[in-house]
Amino acid sequence: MSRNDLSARGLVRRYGGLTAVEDVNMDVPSGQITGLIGPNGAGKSTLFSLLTGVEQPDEGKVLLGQRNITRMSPDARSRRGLVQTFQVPSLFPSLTVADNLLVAAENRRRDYAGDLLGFRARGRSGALQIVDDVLASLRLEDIRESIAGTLPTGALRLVEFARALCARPDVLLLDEPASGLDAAETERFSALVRRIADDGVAILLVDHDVDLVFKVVDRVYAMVGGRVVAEGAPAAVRADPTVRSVYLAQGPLTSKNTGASPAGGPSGGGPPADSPPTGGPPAVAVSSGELR
Amino acid sequence: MTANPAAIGDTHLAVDPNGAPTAEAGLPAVELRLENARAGYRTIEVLHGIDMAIPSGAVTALLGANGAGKSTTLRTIAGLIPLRGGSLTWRGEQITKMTTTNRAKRGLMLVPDERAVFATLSVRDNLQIIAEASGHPDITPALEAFPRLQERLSQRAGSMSGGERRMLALARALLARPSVLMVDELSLGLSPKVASELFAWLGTVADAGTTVILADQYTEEALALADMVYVLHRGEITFAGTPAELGASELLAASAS
Amino acid sequence: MTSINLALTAISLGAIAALSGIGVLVTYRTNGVLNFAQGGIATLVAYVFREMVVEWGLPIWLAAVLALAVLSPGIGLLLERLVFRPLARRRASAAESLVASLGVLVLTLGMTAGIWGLGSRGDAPSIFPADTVKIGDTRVGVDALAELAMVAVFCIVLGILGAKTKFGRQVRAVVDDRQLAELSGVPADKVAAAGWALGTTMAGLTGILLAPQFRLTPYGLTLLVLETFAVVVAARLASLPVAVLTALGIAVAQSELKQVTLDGDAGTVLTVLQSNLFIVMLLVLLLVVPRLRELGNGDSGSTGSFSSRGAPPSGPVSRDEARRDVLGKLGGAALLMAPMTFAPADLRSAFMVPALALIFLSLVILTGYSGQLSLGVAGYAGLGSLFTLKLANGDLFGLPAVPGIWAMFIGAIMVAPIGLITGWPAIRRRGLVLALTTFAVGAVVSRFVFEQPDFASGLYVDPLELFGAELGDKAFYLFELFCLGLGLLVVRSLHHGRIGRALLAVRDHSEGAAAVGVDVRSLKLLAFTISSAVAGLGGALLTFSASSFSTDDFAPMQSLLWFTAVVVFGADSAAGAIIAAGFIVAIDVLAPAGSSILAVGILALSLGWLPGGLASAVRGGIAWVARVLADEFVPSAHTTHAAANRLARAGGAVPGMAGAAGATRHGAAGSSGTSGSGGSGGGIRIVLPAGAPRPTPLGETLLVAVANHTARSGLTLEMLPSARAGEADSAERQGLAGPRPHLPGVPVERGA
Repeated sequence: MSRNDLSARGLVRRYGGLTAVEDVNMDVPSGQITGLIGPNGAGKSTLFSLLTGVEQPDEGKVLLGQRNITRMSPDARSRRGLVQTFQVPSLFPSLTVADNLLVAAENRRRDYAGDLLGFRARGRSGALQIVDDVLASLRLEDIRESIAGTLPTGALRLVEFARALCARPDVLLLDEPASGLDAAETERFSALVRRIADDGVAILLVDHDVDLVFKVVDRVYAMVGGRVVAEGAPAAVRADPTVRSVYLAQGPLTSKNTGASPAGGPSGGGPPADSPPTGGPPAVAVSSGELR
Repeated sequence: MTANPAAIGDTHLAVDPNGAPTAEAGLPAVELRLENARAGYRTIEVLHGIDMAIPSGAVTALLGANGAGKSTTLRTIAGLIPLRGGSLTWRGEQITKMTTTNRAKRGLMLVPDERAVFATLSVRDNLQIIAEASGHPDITPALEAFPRLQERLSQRAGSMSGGERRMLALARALLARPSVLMVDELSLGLSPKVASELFAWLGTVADAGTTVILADQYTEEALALADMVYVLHRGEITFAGTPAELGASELLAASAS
Repeated sequence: MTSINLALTAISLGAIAALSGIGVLVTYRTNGVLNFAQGGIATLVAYVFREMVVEWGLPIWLAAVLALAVLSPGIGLLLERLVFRPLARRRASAAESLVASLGVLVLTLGMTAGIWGLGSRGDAPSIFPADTVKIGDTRVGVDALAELAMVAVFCIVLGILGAKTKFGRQVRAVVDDRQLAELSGVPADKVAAAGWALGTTMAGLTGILLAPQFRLTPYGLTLLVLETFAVVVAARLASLPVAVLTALGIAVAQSELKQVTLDGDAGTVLTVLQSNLFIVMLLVLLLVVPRLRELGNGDSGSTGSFSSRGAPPSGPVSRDEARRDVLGKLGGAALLMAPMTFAPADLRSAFMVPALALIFLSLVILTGYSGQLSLGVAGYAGLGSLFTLKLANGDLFGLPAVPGIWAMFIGAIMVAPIGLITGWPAIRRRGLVLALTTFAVGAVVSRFVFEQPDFASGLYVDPLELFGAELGDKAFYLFELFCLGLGLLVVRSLHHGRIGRALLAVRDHSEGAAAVGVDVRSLKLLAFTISSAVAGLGGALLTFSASSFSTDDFAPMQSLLWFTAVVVFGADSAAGAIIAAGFIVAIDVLAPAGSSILAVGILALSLGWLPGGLASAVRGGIAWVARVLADEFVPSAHTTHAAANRLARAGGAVPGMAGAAGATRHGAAGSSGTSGSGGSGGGIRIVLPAGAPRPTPLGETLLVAVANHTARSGLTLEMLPSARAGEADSAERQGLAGPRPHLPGVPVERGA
């Protein structure tokens, strides 16, 4: 196991009577892009929070390399190289793009006292260098001095991604990075993620855009009802009957729910949260005249 | 109560409320019209004078890249954003200055892209509120259309999954018996399967005679459903016509930034 | 007296506290605003009621009807329409609504104090007869029973209204998401107004019932109502029955305490507790209750909306900007030095300015830079003052007497650990809860320390000495400016560089900051610690400039007034803090007492229209004027179209219409309304519309200067895109786009 791998062992998270994440094992190896898919409510977000440290698991542990980081706060994890992006871009709206990135680049050490007393020159130029490099590599130089709060959604995503890179991550956790991006932006983005992984960063990608996930990842985990129901190469997971029945659209609109559902029910976990009963009449149905 | 004067399949003897005959027999009339509409946020103008005529009882799709002005158009029609210039007409009446509440009462119903349900309220209250506001305090039609909601009636809407919340949002709109149903980013954050189910449902809604306006990134699904397409680019309309007339170049323009 | 007797005497107070709590809850549950103005409104109505009965001789029933059915709901409707509806329309955060309600509080206080003065009155009439009824072997006042009955009725009616009716559902919908409620056809404005009217009526009722029980003073009654927030917190901002039971429980417990007597220090604490259980319970509950059921999506901590400026430039700054910066600072320093030339009496009045400014700076650090609400700053300031005096008097923990100046700095530093400890709750708290917690801390400190003779009596303020020489008035003022300078240095080092950026990151988005490694916890504590020390220094200076320690200077209400003033003048602006101090002192010197409160209140209400406070309104105004000037006369990269269009309209030939900015910039000389002003700006020319009067040489120079400024400092002007340019821009694009394809309005056939 490499120093940079992120792994989860037997993670469990319960809310009251509901088990949101049930005994999940997962490996996010360096240099690879790992995908995580699942219908709404399958427990992806909860698992993601357990990995980033926003929430604590009831059982199980999270390892970064050999180190147990289960009880570490999100900022401590970040200083050790585990960096996340958010579903809703989380930039600092009043700062310029460059300052947003600079915050990430210069906070791997904590000693604020030194700064307060005026020893702030140390490491500054290094941080600026990182910011400039990242801006250049993502071709964001044009908006370097723009105030983050004024940027359009597409740019926000990219800048948040750039900011994550400035924290020099060993592991990058991306939560729906392509939502809100249009087709061209998504295209650019997936190429970018691949480039980062090739530099040896471990990447976990959670997204609804199945096309993006299957196109770009090396390995996929599919979650249903809090459990991992399938894992492996994209092609294998795509072919998995459970995944097909609960998650992927099964064909063009007109033929939906017309028996295309493969045999074999969910192989584990409770009933999927969002899937209508297969084979039966459409779950959403409006008869003519109800709506005038 | 608002009722669509004609349903699809009937013979339409529609006359433009302004007096000009705009439709032949068998074709829907235009009741909702934006003329030279300009709107925006604070110091930024997003819509630079667009003209739009929404065919009644049909599906109109607004396409365009991020920031093209799709959401702004819908929010302007719903009254959330005031017009800075131009006019909005609904059934021959100038409603440019009308409040959001009154537009909703006249049957112009927007399902926004985010925060489309009352997260802290139960599913039942979510449905009840809109049913009462529209004067038909019976929520069974929504439960018949979306049986899944039946078992969640007393659950807080905010604790449901994204797909279920979307369903609830549409179910609410259904209870309002809208004349015009506007749906912003139907597919946002949904798994493809749920998204296509909801698109199909919208098709049946339009078949039942409701005017539907869709703004979506999911170009393919939206196009499959649409009768009329507007492509927006930076607050201007660059194409208006049927999906069949929409060429490859416009399609590319619609999806690229 | 027996326990039962004591309990029965407490019923009246408990019932009134319950009514007050119900009022606060109603406003919160219907509008999402934690109404700090509840106390101010209660006081105002109580004073008007007294005025009608005592001065005008109206019958009590008529006065009560006028006060409760006309005045109180009228205040609520007015507030909703003028203050809170604009805030709700732009989806202001809970923090902003909180500040607006503080503004209302300050305004009502100012009005009450302005009209009736700060003195106390003991002749407030009661709406109930003074009879008693015998229950068992105890006599209970009719008023207590009537109040209890009111509580029960309100509880039941509101409970049914909220849970079962259409109106209740609409209320919950509006408060959850006003915009969505409107989209659903719910008349949101009417629902919100009804909620406000009900809430302020309850406030008025509270005031009228409380007034006869205590002596009527503007500050006292207001604070009394604020203390009942304990009830609201116990109810976790939601449950009416819990609120009522807590109110009665605390009142009875406070009464029962009178049976107990203890000796020594414990006895002193007990004595204080016997009259201050509500405020103590407020603090305890805030620390114990795990979570309030706050409305909205938990973004109520965001103060970014009233402190919105970013970090100072991290890169090299142009020489012009640096020069302007230095000039501005020199100008400010000169203004601050001006009192040195004043007459001695006026100079003494000016003593307050640097002291207040330091206290305000501490709020800038906390609220403006790190985004944490603090309503307890008077507590830190008072402690700083107290420590300083005790040290100087040789009265603190047996320490030897320290010369005044050094005592001041040591005292300020001694406040820092207290700031650290009281900042601890802030790690996990924000928004409303943090605001209430800091308020409770300030109030408890005031009650248990400042108002206790053991601590705060027998303090004498010796004139300061430096190297054996006594400081005269001028020297003292200079010393104050020196301290202010120190404070500004601290603020500067907290605002610049890595710490500055990290703090702003925490303010803007603390989860996002944590995600990239910013140690949110340490930074929040750091801000609290430093801010409390700065406030302590300011407090010490305040006492020395007044030459005596006064409890009133550091009363809990001061914290609210000071916080409001800082937000109004720009929470993230050090200059704003100093200006605010100057403003308050100047008004208090020039106008009758209470005027500064009134002025701050009025300014605070304008926050609904001026997000970011006066400072950002002024900044925005300057940028706007510059932009309009630039748009009007100067063709630069982003105004090309506007200018070109105007020229085209004027009939002139326009070279390079299709775009190249450079072409217009240099080549418009041929058109009719051009007045070349030559090389001063690297080829920038002033283009005037045809028929416009020729500018004077001075005017021309001015225009060129603006043009240069526009062209160079692209950032600020580009950030505020020109509406005019946008309009012309699109108009032109329409023209270039040729005939529109497929104009809408064409009938469409629905595909099968």
